[in-house]
Amino acid sequence: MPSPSAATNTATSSTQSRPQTNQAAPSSTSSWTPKPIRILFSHFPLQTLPANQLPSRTLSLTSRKKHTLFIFTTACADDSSNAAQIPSFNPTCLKWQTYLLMRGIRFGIRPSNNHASPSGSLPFLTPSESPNSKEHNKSTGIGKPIPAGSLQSWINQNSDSTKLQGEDEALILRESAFLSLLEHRVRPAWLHAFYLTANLYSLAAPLYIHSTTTSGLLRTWQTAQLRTAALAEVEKTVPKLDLEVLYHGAESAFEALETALGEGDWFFGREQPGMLDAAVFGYTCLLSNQRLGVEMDGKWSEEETSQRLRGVIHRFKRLRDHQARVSDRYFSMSKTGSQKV
Amino acid sequence: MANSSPSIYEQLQAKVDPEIEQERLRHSRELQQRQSELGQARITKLIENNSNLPTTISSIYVSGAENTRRSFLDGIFKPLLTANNGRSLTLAETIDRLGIAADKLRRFDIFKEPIEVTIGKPDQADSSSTPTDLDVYVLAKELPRLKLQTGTDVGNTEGSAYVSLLCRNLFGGAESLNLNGSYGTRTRSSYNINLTSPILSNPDVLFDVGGVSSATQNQWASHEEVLKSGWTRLRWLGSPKSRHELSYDHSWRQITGLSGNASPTVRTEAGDSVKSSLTHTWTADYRDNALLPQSGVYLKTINEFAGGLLTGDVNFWKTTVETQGILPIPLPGIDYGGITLTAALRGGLLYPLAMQKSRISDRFSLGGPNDVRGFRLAGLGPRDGSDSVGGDAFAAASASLHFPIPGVGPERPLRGQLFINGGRLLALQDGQDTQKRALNTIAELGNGLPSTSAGIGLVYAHPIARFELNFSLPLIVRKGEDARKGFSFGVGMNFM
Repeated sequence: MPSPSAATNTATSSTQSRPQTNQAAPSSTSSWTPKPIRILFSHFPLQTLPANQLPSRTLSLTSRKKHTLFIFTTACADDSSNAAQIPSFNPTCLKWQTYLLMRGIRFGIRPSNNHASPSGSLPFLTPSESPNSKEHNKSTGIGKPIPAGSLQSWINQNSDSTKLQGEDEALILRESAFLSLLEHRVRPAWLHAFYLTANLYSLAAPLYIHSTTTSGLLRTWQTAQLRTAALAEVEKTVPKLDLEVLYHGAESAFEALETALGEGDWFFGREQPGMLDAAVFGYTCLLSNQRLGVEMDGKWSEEETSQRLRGVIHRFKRLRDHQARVSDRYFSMSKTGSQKV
Repeated sequence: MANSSPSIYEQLQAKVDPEIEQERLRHSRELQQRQSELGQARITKLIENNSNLPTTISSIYVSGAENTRRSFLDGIFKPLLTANNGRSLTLAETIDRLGIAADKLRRFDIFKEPIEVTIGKPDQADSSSTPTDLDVYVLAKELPRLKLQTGTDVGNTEGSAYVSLLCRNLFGGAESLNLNGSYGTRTRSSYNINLTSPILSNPDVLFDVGGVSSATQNQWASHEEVLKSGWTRLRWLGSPKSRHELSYDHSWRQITGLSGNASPTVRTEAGDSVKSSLTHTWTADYRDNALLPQSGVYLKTINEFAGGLLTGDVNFWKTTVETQGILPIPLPGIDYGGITLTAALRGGLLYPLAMQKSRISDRFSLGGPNDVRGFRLAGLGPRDGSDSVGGDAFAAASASLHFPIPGVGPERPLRGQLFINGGRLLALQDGQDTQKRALNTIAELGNGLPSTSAGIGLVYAHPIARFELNFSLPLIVRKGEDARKGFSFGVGMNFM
């Protein structure tokens, strides 16, 4: 249903009745519009012709037939290519992308940015709704966007693969404990490595900024913004930016994960990979590739501090094997799209 | 005798009959006017009689312009002095030229009106003076240098409140600095700075640099556009009726603040882009009045080139043409009936360069009380869900018959109107060859009847803006287009 604000804020006002629309629904109009006027209005427009074609910079009608995940990526949103299997360069986006693939959901991806998201950050997913669904928007063919926070329950409802069943409370609790370990120990170190070292210029800026604008002025400004935001975020968990504390934290987190993984293929000896597998892969995948992005336009700097977190992950063989397992099973690293967005 | 006639005090105290008083006032005014007319006539006669009198201007005294640079004034008055070098001018020519100079001075908008110009004979005892010499005295009082204004504005379908500070004659050369902040219904906030300066003391050639920072709500497409833009611009008069403007703009546009039900097209548009463009605007306005013209023609063309060597994220050529013609319809036996037929035609094309897809910030929108009446703002053209996403090519036309309201008369700026208008706004068609796509799209504009509405209404031309109240009904619409039935109200400067 269109928002009520869509039509209220012009310098025009009227005593109109719009066919099949929001604020002046026919029922409310009919209560005060005299009958002869209603009869007159019902004859107009005399002729309704087919709708105009949409501009080309949009989600094509074929793309609307499947779910679309909006993520940070330099992959081209080409309908024919298997773009969903090109990993995002953002750990959170990559986590959800991986998890969706693991749960066997068919979807397309779309390069995007935080301005597009209803929650203010990526990823989010626009579901393709079956025409008889309640949420279905007749004219756009897709449902309301689902932000990352609500994705898990949406996936549970829409996944074909049977939900990981018979899991006891304790396992779920353990998983969430490890997820928060990632969030509070690994993520700050990641932010430091990615945005507060030479990688800002060799990785972050080319991937996040240079792919969206060619303007030198805007690039400089946004790179500075990126740095400031990352610094504020890291200092929330590690005040004064003590690098020893920061990287030691990450290392002990990876150590715990390595132990939790044990000899099994997936965490907690599960048959199928779960959320923690996806979340860990979000970091390990990006840390083990020297170059990131479809065109390999982002590259880890060779400088010592910039390489520090990559050095940490290198020490955990099981995590590296786990990363390779996920890559092989769900991603087509070699089959990258050829066009740049 | 003393009893029969009132005393002198009584006579003085007695109330004067107001009618007699008015009559007397009218009489004295007439007398004054006749005297001034006579005086004028005398001067005209005097000048006529002496129009061939050879004159030279020996000196020009400008008083009152304390904050104005000497070099700036030289630019206006030096030519008068040097014109004398070759041959002596006649008195008529000299007066003409002085008039032109005074008019120039007036148009800088830094002096109080009127600017007084007097001519005198220099002291004949001065050995350096010749018999043909004249002295010119210009009394130009400067307007206050600072002007603070607050108020409300009605622009094209938008209301706003503003605060503005104008610094006149900033460096003594009629430069003006304008700072403006406004808060509106649609443009939530806008801060504007602009420095304007005439070139070579010529009020017809203006140079300006400026910047704007604004946030505009585009409800018809569920987003907010945050804009930071800087420009430099040169404006000049080709002739009194034709204006040119050449500007370079560098803008950072951010599509953000999407509403919950924003369509996929608008979600795709979210984010930043930089436009670097060169624009030429030409306006030829031969109408007798801009707000409620009774005759004449109007033509405006805008050509914008973005990208390429100018850099930026968008590459296109965007061209727009607006025309309007007004034909007074004569009535037998009446000099001025006030009945007019107005026809207007508009069109535009956004031609992509470097195989780029157009963005919503650059595309055209069509519909609303100021162009195609009977449709909501941006109500025509391609639509994704409830969002009007704009198009790359448009054509719109309108015909309106204006007539005086019985009992009000044709002299008042109030008219009734009957109108029919319509248009089409299209996205560029699919394909590989850009030129072919553009041509196909243009061909498509004329394919089938345009989305059309017709109606009847009232037009009132207030000195600051034109107001329209119309009752209209849509005749032809495309599926999804946002037509309105019934009454609608429009305010603005520029109507189709």
